[in-house]
Amino acid sequence: MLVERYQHRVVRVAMAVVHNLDDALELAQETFVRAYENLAKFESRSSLSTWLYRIAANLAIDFRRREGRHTVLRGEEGEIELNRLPSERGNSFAETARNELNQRLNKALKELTPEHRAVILLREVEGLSYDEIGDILQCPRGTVMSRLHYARNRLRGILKDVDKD
Amino acid sequence: MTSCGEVRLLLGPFDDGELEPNEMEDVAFHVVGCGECKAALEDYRALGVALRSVVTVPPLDNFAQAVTARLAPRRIPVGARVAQWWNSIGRLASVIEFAGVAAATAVLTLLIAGPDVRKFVTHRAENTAVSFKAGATTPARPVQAIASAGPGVANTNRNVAAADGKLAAADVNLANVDDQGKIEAASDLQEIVSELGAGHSPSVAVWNEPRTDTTVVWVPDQR
Repeated sequence: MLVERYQHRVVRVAMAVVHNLDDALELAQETFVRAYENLAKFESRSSLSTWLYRIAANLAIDFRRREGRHTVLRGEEGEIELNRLPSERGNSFAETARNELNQRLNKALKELTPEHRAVILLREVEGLSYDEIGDILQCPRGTVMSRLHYARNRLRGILKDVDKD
Repeated sequence: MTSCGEVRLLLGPFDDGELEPNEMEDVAFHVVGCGECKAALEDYRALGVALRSVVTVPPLDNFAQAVTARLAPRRIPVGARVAQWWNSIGRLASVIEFAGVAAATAVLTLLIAGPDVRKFVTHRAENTAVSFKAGATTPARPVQAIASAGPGVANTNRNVAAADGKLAAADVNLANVDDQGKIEAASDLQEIVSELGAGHSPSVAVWNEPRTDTTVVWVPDQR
């Protein structure tokens, strides 16, 4: 089924923008509903997956605009969801360091604008090309490059600080 | 390109494989010889690994069912879908029915009017001398008219007539052909017509007579 095939990536695309699992799930459901309603308008200029991600990204960006561009995430939900890592029992030094890194990365991701966060997560987590990202977020390739450069440098600083500590 | 500043801008796209081949080469050469840029590239790679480990989506149990539930009210009811299917079948049946009626009408017409049509065509063939010169657009002329075209031609047409009028032929313009040529052409024509009349021939024969620059059409006697 189409939903089962693309659900994870659609949720992650939405999450890349809204940075909250509950909102991302809601937006992902809405994405499939919109896709179903507009299937007749789908043109094979882009792949079906890109079309779905674009719907998800547009819905998420609209959602963010409605909520306010830099709204602080509600409570700790965002961090809780993003920290769902497979962890071993015990509290080893490595695990502590990893948790600290995750917390800092989450904090840094939250501080990015939705556009910067979406670009770096679509690239690093989803592995999409610059053209695909530009297609989904409807911005030029040069904008994708500059946003990526900015986001990487911001997050790189976090990593270096953790290494120093 | 030697500036670290320029290379730093391209390190991300370099790692992503999004640069042009010549830029990839330039950055690669620079990184090999520059420790700081090499370290920055390694940081970018480590960042990618860290992000992939941080951003995880939990199992999406019941997500598909939730989407299906939301789509359910939008779906066309089964009854309406059956009605649509039935209508489409009905349209197809109409087309098939029309084609069948048309085919049956054509067959009946042929059966009923066939002999009359054949008779009409035969009658027309008997009374019409099909003759045309190669490349000419003038209408066919009757055999009688051809017969008056000259002694050689008249001879030819008499011979044709002797073959039971099977030859409906020839705007035979022999005016510019020498006598020997006329005689040979007439002789050959007679031979061909005799052979055709003997029954070893197709229903219609067409050939060119190069000596007289003529296309000859032979139609069998329908009587």
